[in-house]
Amino acid sequence: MSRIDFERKVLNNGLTVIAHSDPETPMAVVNVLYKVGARDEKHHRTGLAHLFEHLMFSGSSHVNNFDMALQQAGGNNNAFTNNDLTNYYDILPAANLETALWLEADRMHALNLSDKAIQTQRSVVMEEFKENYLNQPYGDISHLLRDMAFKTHPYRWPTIGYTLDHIEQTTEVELRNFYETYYQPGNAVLTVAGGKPIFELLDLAQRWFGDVPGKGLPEKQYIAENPQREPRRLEHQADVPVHAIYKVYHMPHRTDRAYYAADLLSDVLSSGTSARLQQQLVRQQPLFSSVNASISGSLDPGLFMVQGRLQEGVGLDDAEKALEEELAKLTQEPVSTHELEKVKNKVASGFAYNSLNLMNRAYSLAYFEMLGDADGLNREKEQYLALTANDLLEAARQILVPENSSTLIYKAKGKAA
Amino acid sequence: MMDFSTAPPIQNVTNVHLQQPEPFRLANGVPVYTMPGGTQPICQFDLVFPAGKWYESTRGTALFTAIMLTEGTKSFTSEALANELDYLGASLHCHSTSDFLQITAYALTQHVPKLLDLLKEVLFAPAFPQEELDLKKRIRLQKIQVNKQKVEFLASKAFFGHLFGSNHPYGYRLDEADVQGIDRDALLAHYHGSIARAPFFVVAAGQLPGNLETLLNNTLGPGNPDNIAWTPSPDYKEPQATPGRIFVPKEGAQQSALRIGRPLFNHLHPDHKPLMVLNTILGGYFGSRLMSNIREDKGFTYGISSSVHSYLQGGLFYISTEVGSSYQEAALKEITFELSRLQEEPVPKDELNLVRQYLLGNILGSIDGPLKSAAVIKELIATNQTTADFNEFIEALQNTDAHKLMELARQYLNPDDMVTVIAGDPNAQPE
Repeated sequence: MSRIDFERKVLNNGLTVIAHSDPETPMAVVNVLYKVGARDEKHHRTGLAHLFEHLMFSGSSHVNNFDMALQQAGGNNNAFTNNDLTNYYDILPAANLETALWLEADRMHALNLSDKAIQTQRSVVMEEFKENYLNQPYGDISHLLRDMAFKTHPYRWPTIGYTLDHIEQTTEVELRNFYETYYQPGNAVLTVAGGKPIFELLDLAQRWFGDVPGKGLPEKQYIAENPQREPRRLEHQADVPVHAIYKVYHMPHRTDRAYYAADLLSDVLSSGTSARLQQQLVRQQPLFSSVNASISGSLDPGLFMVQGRLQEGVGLDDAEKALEEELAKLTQEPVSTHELEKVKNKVASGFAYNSLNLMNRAYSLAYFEMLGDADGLNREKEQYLALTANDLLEAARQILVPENSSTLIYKAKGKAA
Repeated sequence: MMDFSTAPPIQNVTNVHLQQPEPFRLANGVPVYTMPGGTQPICQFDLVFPAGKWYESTRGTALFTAIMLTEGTKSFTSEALANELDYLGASLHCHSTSDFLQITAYALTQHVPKLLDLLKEVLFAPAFPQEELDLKKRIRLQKIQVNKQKVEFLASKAFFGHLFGSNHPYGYRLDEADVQGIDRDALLAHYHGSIARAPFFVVAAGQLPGNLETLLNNTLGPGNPDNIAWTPSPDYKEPQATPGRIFVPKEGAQQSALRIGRPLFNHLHPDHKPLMVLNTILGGYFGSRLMSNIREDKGFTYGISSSVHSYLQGGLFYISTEVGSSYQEAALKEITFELSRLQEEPVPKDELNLVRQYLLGNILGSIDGPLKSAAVIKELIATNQTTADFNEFIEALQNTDAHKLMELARQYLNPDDMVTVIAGDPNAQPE
């Protein structure tokens, strides 16, 4: 896989600019990553970061309509929020790069927060909440699991927010304070990428963002989660057609070496059809119709999650026992050479495939810069390839133990347990 | 200090160039379209067969045949095959659509010979093991049970069923009885009839190995001994769906799913290309009439869109959204308003220009590089089109004027011609 080359420049106002040139593409991407997410919220006002993301499209001092201005330039855009960050990206023909820079720079410091926009987006976000979390079977699992696993850390609530009330009651003052505090150049990473020479990308970024006023950086303090010492458990009944089981375990933070081991462990369990959970618990023992292991990927210590939906007629006790046995195996024996090579090969080809996409590269550069060094992106694959079976065994013994677990038994109403 | 008070000057997109494939034929006549290049050592292969729902004898057969191809072959069990692919970091997926069986396989260039060997196994020696089939049936049954809880699924099922007929290949959604009736013999018959000796084509994209032709002759050579040229069957008849309102109850639903639309022509019709432009204005992008009104102004929904679908043997237009239950009637009213507006007022010059530029920029991005371009080429060839048709669409986009669009709206977007399906809470319905 070829290296993703870039250059870095930190402007006087504190904004970090990463420039990446790709002469093969007619497109350009402007990616602005703000280092603010749901973990920066107060527990009585959750969903704020995500609601605010919606409001970033309300227009700014010199821009009547953000979307239209970008569309006129042949551009597309989107954004997302998670517990750690809020990311905005624009993709457009490289010839019109300055349009995107103008739009992003203007809304970074001169956003229009009108009553109408606040009212409407509140409503839109409440519909999003209903559509994805309330009106969907199993939609509330992230609320239930986080609440169980986290007692003090702000990962306790999902990005969408704890309840509809929190969103409904957010005030203009709260939104404005949020903007003033977190949306500033020193709290952001800007990637400019695409079909222009690197010196031009850097130069244009400097010209459009250089005069955005920089203020003091926000204070960030996240109450650490106390180590969990006992298994936790919740049984929940709902109007769903089949039972499901969810288990989450605390795992290390993003830049810890054991994070990579945990990631590979989740791959050993469920990356690809030949992986352990699929073969053992869906095919060999027909207990689950679908089963999956994943990691939350968060910056602070996050969660390793295993979940599965039971096949018709299967008892919850049997299914849970079988699932726990599979997890226990990882703490008892090292993975085989073949298995380790297999997951590493998948990771390697995944990196190559993801690098094809200009937007992925632009975002990844900003993300790794947030972690400390954009070049980390180019070292990431090696972090995985260097892991040994013993590393995975140690990580499993640290993570996949009952006293570190929170289990959600999701029962289908009207079905035998 | 940059001048923020005016937008930077914009260059209109004028040059949208779709990479031309470099075609050759295998010894047995199978056409291969190559799209070499790309910045990473990756290859992607797309194979397309006339083996979709249109060609099946019973409901669900095309789907399950596609699913079962990778569930075991003469030399590999399901697990062994999965293991081989995962070990290479490669991917091989068989996907059934209304008209086609699409097989997509990709791997790092160094693993292409091995990938093609596995592809050969899957294509020419599938075993259809009964045990694997039983498992897949059980899993699909569960998926259906979960889907039946979702208003979007219920609305979609009722809508397509009404538009094409619930026994029409384009009109049905699988139910439990269909899945339970899936029979190994029917799958084998579908495989032998529509895949094993069928005409197909290949699109190969990426940093292709130098001996690609040899590799493909050795692996995909055995297929298509009948050497039938690819021609979609021209037996299309536009279905007649009675306009009106259909309600599907879902107790306790917090949102209503709305599907509003009508049957239409397919891509062969001269109005198809300009209608796609009209559709974008109505509901095909974030700044569309529907989004601007129903989401951004009223806040009724998280998303609303409209689509023009073209199949080989039919087509349709429809609007799709999920709205808060209490907003249902107001949303329907606004949708009707937006349809009528397009019939009564020509699209303003600025808006038309914006949509043009937006679409051109979008298309430019969607053909950026050989792998993305390959997807476009694949669709063109499958529907018996060429890059000339792609260029014609670009021209239609640049030249269709507001009056032509208004004419099209009058002819095809009449609210009175629409079928409206609502899936939602029966207790939230108007008297």
